[in-house]
Amino acid sequence: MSIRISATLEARMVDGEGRIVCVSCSHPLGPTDQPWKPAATLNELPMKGAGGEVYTAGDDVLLRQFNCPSCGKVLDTETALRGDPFLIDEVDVSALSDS
Amino acid sequence: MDPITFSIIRHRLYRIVDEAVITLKNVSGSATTNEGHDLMVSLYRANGSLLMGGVGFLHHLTSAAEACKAIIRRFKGDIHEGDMFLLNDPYTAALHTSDIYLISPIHYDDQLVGWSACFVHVYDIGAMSPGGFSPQSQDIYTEGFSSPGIKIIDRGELRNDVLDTLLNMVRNPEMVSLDIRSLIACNNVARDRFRVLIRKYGEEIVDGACMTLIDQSEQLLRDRLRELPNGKWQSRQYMDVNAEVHRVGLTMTKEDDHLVFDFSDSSPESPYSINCAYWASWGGLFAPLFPLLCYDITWNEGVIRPIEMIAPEGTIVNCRRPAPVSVATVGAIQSVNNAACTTIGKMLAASEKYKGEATAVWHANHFAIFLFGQNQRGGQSIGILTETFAGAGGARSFADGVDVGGEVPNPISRMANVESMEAAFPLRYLFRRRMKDSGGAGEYRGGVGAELAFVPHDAPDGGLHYVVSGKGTQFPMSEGLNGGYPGAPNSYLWVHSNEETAGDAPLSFAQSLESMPGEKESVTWGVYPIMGRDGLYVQWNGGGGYGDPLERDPAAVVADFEEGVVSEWTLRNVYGVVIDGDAGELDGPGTEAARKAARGTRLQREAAE
Amino acid sequence: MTASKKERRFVVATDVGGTCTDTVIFDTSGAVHFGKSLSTPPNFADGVLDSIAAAAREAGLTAADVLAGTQLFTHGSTVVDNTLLTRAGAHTGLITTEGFEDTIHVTRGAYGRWAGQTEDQIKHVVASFRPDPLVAMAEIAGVPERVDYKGEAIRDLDEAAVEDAVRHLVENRNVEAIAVCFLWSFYNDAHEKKVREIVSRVAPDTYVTLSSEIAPVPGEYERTSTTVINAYAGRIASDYLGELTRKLGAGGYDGPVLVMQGYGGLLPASEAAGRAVGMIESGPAAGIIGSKFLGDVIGDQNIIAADMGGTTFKVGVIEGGEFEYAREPLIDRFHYLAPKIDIVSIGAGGGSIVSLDPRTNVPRVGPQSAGALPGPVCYGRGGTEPTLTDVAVLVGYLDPAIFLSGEMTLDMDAARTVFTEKIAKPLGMSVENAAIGIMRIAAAQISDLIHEITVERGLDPRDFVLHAFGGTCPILCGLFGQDLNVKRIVVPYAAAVNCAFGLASSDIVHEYSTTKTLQVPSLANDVNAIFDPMIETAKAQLADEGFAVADMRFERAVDFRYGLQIHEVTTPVRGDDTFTDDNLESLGADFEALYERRYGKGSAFRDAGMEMTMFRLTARGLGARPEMIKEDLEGEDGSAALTGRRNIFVEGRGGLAEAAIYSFEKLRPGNKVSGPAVIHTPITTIVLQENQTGRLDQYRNMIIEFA
Ligand SMILES: [Zn+2]
Repeated sequence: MSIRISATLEARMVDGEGRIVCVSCSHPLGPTDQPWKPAATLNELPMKGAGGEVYTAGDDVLLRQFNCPSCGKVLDTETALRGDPFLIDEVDVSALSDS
Repeated sequence: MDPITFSIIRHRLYRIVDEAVITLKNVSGSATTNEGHDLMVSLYRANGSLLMGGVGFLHHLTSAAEACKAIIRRFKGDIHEGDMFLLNDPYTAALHTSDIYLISPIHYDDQLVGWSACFVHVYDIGAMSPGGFSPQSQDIYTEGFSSPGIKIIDRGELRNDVLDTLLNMVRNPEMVSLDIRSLIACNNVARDRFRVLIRKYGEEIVDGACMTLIDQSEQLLRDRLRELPNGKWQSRQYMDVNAEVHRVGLTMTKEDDHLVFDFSDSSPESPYSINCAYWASWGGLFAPLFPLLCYDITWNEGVIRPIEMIAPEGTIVNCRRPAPVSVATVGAIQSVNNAACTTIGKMLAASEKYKGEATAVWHANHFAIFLFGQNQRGGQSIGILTETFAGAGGARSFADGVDVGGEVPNPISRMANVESMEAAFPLRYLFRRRMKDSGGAGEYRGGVGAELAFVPHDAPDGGLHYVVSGKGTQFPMSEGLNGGYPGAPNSYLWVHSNEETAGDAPLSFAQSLESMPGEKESVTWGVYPIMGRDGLYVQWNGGGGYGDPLERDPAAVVADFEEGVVSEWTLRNVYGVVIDGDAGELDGPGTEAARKAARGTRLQREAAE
Repeated sequence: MTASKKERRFVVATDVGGTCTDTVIFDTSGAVHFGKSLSTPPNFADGVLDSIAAAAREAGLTAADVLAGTQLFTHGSTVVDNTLLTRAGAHTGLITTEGFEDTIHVTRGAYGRWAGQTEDQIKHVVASFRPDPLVAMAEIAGVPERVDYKGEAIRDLDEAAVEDAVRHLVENRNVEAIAVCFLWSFYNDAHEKKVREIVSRVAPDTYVTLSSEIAPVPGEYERTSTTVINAYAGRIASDYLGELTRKLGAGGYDGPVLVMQGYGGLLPASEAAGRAVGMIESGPAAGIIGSKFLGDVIGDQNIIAADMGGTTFKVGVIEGGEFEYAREPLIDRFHYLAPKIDIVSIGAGGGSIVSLDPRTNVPRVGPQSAGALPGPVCYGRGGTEPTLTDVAVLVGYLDPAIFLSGEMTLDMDAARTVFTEKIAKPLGMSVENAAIGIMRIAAAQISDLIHEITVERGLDPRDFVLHAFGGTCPILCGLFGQDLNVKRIVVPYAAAVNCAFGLASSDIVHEYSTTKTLQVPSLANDVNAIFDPMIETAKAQLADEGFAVADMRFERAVDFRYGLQIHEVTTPVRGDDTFTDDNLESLGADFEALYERRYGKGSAFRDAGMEMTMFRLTARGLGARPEMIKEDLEGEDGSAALTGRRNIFVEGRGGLAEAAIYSFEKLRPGNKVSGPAVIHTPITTIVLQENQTGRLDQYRNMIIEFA
C-alpha cells in the first residue's frame, strides 16, 4: 500500500521499511520519519530572471527546485533567501506500518 | 431543531447580510467600496461571536467579532437599543485605522439578541499620507484618527460631537461623512431585518437556528479535517521595504480535527507600517481558510473553534503599540493570507479526496497606490488604483490560474474601467494589458498579472502625487505548489521626463516600458510626484504555478506563447519546448529531446543535503 | 393576390421560446385563437410558420388565410440567446485601441469570473473560471489612435494599420464579423466610422458592429463586450429576420414585421436586424409588457409579475406603469450594455429537485431540475428524484386524476414512495409534514427573491398587485403573496400566452441616448441642444414608419449622479415642455428624491455637487391594443363549480385541512370562492389559502383578496 504525501511523493513499504518515494519513478528518498529534501538533488536558480525578464528579484533570492535524483522531475519548489533553511513538510504516514 | 424552519431561517440570514451589503454599496457610492468591494458586513451573536459572515474582505470577519467583544467589555451596562459604536484601533481589534468598524447592537424586547458589524476603507483617516496607507509613519500616532470604541449613535440619536471630531481630523470630510453614513445605513438594515426575523419566528427559535448553524459548521469542518492527513507544513513569505527584508514564517500542524497555525518563525516587528497586530493575523489566516476549506460550509464561529494560532508578541504578526500598522492589510496580513494559502494547499494536495481543492497562491502582493491631487475639474481627488483588486489567480491541480482573475480573500472584487479612471483623475493610460511571463510556470501555469502605464493629462497642477507602499519588488510572493514557479514580483517605475524639453515634447503614446521616454527609477515606498511628461509604470504579480513546468502540455505552452503571455525564452528555457523557427509550430520530437536534456541537467546537481 | 386593407382583420403575435413557439391571433371581432408548436432551432422561422398554422386551425382557417388577412405581425425570439448559449455565432474579430487589446479578456479582473454566479459558486473560489471569450486573442487587433476623456482626438487613426488588421483578420484568420471599440468613442466616433469605411472597402462581406452605435456609453469593458456580442450574433439575427420576413411574405403577408426588444418595445425587423443585443431576453420582456397590458385593463399600476414554470421562477416589477432597466445585464455570464427590463430569477420551478444536504440533512429545493424529461416522479416518465410538483401532489394541491384537464394522470403512489424514501424518512418526519415543510421552503425562497427586487430597491410590496403566471406559480402564490403582504393577487386568464399578449400590446419603441457630462446647474439651452436633435431624428424615424404625429410619444430622461460617486439614476422628465431653468431645477430635485428612495435615506450627497451624464429619449409609435372580451358578471355563488373536497396543506391551520375543489371552467364571471380551496384550470392549479377569497372578473382573471 501507499500513502499520498503530495502530488509528487508518497510513502511506501520498501523491503519492510517505510520509505518516501517519487511517485513518477518510485525512487526512494529516505525513511518516512526523516525529511526527504536532503535526499533530492537541489537546483538553486537565481530568482532574478528565473522565469523571464519580469523576475526582477534581489541577488540573494533563490528559486530552490528539489528534484528527483532518478527521473529528474521537480518534486517541490520554494522561494528562499540564500542561507535560509529548507521548508520542512511532514505527513503522518504511521498507518503505513500499521497495515 | 425543526429542519424546515432551520432551512428557512438560514436562507433569511444570508439575505439579511446580502441586503446590508447592497445598502452599504448604495449609500457609499465610492469606487473603493463598489469596484474593489473593500467592505464587509456580518452578523454576530449576543456574545459577539460570528454568526453569519458575508462575502467581503474576509480577514475582517473575525476581527469584527473581536471588535464586538471589545465594545461589550468597554460599554458593559451602557449598551442600549439604537446605539451604534465606532472602533478602528488596530491594537483593540481593527486591521488598520482606515478600516472603520461600525458596530450595532440588535435588541428585541429590550434584550440584546445580536450584533451587526460592518466596515469600509474610508476615503481618508487623517494619517500622514492621504488615503490611509501611510508609508512614512513611524508609529501609530501618525496614522490618523483612532478609537478603541466610541458611541457614535446614542439610542437612535447621531452624536454630532463625535462625528464632527472625526471629520475634523480627515481630508475631504464630506466623503468620509458619506462613508460613515453608509455604514450606519447598512447596520440599520441588518438590525431591522434581524428583528423582523425574530418577530416572525420568536427569539428562541431564531437563536436555536443560529446555534445549530454554528454547531453544524463546526461539525462539518471537523469532519473535513479528520478526512485530511495529519501532518506539519511550512511556508515562508518575504517582504522587502527599503532593502530591509522581513519574514512571515508559518508552520501549520494538523492533528485529528484541529489546526494550529504557528507564526513563531516570523521577523521582529518592523519600523515600517507593514506590521500587523494580533487580531489582524488571526483574521489574516481565516481569509483563505474560509474559501479553501469551507467553500461549502457557512462562515461562522463554528469554523473558528477548531483553529488555534501562535503569534509571539513583538513580531511582525503581533506587533506592540505604538508600532505603525497602516499598511498592514497589504503588508503582514497579506503575507499571513499567502502563507496560510500555501500550507493549506499543501495539506489539501496530500489528500486523495481533496487534492482538487489545492491551489498555488493567488495575487500575493497588492500594490495599494493612492493617487491624490487636483483633478481636471478643479476639485480634489483621492483614490486607489483599483487595478490592485485585479490580481492573478494561482494555478490549481487541474487547471491554470485565472489571468488577472482576482484574489482569494476578497472573492468579488473588480477593477475600474480605464475610462472611469481617466474621468476621475487628470491622467491618461498608455496601456493596460496582461504581463508576459508573469504567471508562475508549472504543469498548470499561474494566471498572469498585468502592466499599466499612465501620464498626466489636463492636470491643473501639472500632475498628481501618489502614495506607494510597494513592498515585494525583490521577492516573488505568490508561491507555487508541488513544483511550480512563483508568480513574478511587482514593479513600480517612475519614468522621469527631461524637464527642460518637457513643454514641447510630443505626447507619448509609448506601447511598452522600454519605449517610454525618460529615466526609469524604481519607487517602492513613500510619496512621489508624477508631473509634466513623467510616466508611472506598474507591473503586478502573477499567480503561482502548479507542478513541474516540463510536464506542461507543450501545445498549451505554444498557445500561451502565441497569445503573448509566455515569452520565447521562457517557452524554451523553463518549459523545455521547441518550436519551429519559421512557422512557430510545435516541434514534438525536439521538445521531447529538450525536456529529456533538461531533466538530465537536473540529475547532475548535488544532493540537497 | 393581396387582400384589401379592409379584409385585414388579424393581428398575429408569435413568441419563440426555447422549447415552444406560441402564436396568438387576435381577430378585430374580439376573438382570440391560440396555437403552439415545438421550436425548431436553429431554423426557428420554420417553427414560427408551424405555430401560425396551429393557431389558424383553431380559428378554422389555414395559415395562408391568416397571413393574407393580417395587418400586423409582432414577434419575439430567442434566436440571439440561443446563438450565444450554443456558441453558434460568427467567427468574430475585434479592432480596438492599441495598448488595450486585453480589455475584453481581462473582464475588469475577477468581475467576469464571478458575475452571474451563485453565492455558493462565488465562495468556491478554487473551482471558478471565466467563461471562454467569444473572440480569441489572436483575433484582436490593436491599432494606433486615441481619443481623450473630453472626446478630443489626440492621436490620429493609423488607417494603414487598420487596413492591415482587417486584411489579417479576414484573410489569415477567416473572421466573418468585426467588432470595433475604441476608448472614448461614445464622445467621438470618427475613428470607429473610419474603420467601417475601410472594412467595407477591403472586405465588404464582413459584418461590422461599432461600439459608438450599438452602445454609445462609458465603460470600455462592457462596451467592448456588447460590441463583440452584437458582431458575434448579428449575422445570424439579421439572416433569421430576413428569412422570416421572406417566409411570411411567401405565405401572403406583406405588412410590417415588428420585433420585440429586451426593453419591452418593438422595432421593425429591418432595424432590429442590426441590433442583435437588443433581442436578448426579449421573451421575458414581452411577458412584463403583457402584464402591464393586463394591468392597464384591470386597473393595476403597480405590479409584481411572477412567472414560474418547470425550471425557473422569474419576476419583474412594474411601478406606476414603468419598469426598471437592469443595471448590469448579463447573457450567459457575458456583460452587455443595452436597455433591458430588469427581471430576476432563481432555479425554482415545478421540476426543481427536492433533496437533503447529505452532510447535514437540511432540505433544499433546486437549483437542479428534473426538466421536462424525465420530469417529476409522478409523471411516470422515469423520474427518480422527488420534485416540487411531486410535493404539490402529496400536499393535495394537484389532483392526480385531472392534471391538465385530465390529459395526463399523475402517479401519486410513486411520488409518495420516492419522497418517503429520500426525504421524509431521513428527516424523521411524516410524509405530510415533510411535504408541507418543502412547500414552505419553496415559498420562503420566492418571497426572499421578491423582497430583493422590491424592499431592497425602496419599494413596498404592500403597494403592489402580484400577477401569477406559469403552471406552478398559482399553486404557491397564496403562500408567498401572503408572506409578502401584497395588495392582492391576480391569476390572469391568458397566462399561458401572456408573452404573445405582450407582443401584440406593445408600441414601436426607439431608444436614443447621448453621453455628455454637464455640471448642475447648467443652462437649459445646453440641455435642449442635446435633446432637440434626438427628437428630430426620432420624429423622422417614426414618420418613416408611418406614424402620424398624434401617435408619437416622446419620453425624455436624464442620468444624474453626485460628484465623486459612481451611482447614476435615470430621472424621467415630466411633461413635454422644452427645458427652462425652472423645470431643469425641479428635474434635479426629482433626481435627489429618486436617489434617496433607491439608495436609502442619507445617501444623497449634495456637498460634492451634481452632474448630468446621459440624456435619453424614448420615442414611441403607439400601437393598437388588442381587445379583450368582457363578459357580464353573474352572481357570487360559485357552488355550481364545486367538484368535491379533499385535504390540502393550509398554512393558517398549520397542516392539512379540508378544502373545496372547483373546476375553473364551470366558474362564471362574478363567482366568488373562499379559501381554503383549489381551482383546477386547463393549464394550471390555483390554491387559495385560508382567509383568501378568489373572484372571477369579467375577463375571467382570478382576483385573490386577503381577508
Ligand atoms: Zn523520480
